[in-house]
Amino acid sequence: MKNPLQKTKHLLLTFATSTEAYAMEEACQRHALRGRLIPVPRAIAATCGLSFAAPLSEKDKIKALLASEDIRPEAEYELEL
Amino acid sequence: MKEFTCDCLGQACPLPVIESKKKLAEMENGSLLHVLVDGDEQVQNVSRMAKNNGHDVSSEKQDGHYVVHIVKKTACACGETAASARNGKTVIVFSKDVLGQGDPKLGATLMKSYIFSLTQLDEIPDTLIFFNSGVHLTTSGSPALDDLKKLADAGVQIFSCGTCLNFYGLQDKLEVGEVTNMYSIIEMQMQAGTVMNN
Repeated sequence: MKNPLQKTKHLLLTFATSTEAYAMEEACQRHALRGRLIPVPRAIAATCGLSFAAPLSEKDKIKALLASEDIRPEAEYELEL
Repeated sequence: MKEFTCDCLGQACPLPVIESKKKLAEMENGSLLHVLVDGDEQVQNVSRMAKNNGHDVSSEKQDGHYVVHIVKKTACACGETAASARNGKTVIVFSKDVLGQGDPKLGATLMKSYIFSLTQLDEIPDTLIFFNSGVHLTTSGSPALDDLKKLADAGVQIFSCGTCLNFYGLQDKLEVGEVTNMYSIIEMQMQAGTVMNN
């Protein structure tokens, strides 16, 4: 059946390795921030890999977390999920 | 045939994929796009994106770089072909709370990814059936609950095996969908056009 679900804007971070993606999710859980691992969307790459997605409303907190935990994403995107 | 070029030399993935997609979106059907890239990885990623979107693809090596040739085809016509090739309802069966065999942490991540990906499809399944440890996905504490609830709201029927819920002591913890029994599970599988097992 046709998918009727509405998509909303998310912050998406990609990482060089899945270990770094796991570390990002774990840091987020430790700080009770919303966000999760998802497969890298097709709009970004046709490769198989994990990325981290969070609602755009969490962007400032996520950015602060990246700085405080010294987590370095490979790239950052904003897209509808 | 109109021809276009997308110069992605010096660009690492995923930029060539993104740039090619942008260019393809601007082009008319039947037009030809030449994507210039540095290496084999970029060739594979751009080619896979184009094939997944129903376009015709070929590639060649030229003077130290690669060129991916893409003939744009209508994406919606491709979708219609895929949909019309399937008859009847699509049922997906989850017999475990992890995807595949191997490391359990990876298996749990893959299962979350799988269920999230279902929410992103243009065509979503009609029915999801959960049994054995798969019922951990439909009950309290499941990391997939948000996505399963979205799918349920979108009209996907979600069923969990009652025997399995009882066995795991989860009969009062069901958070999404309905309880079903083995007779109904078999009937749903037999009446489906497509059954996928996980």
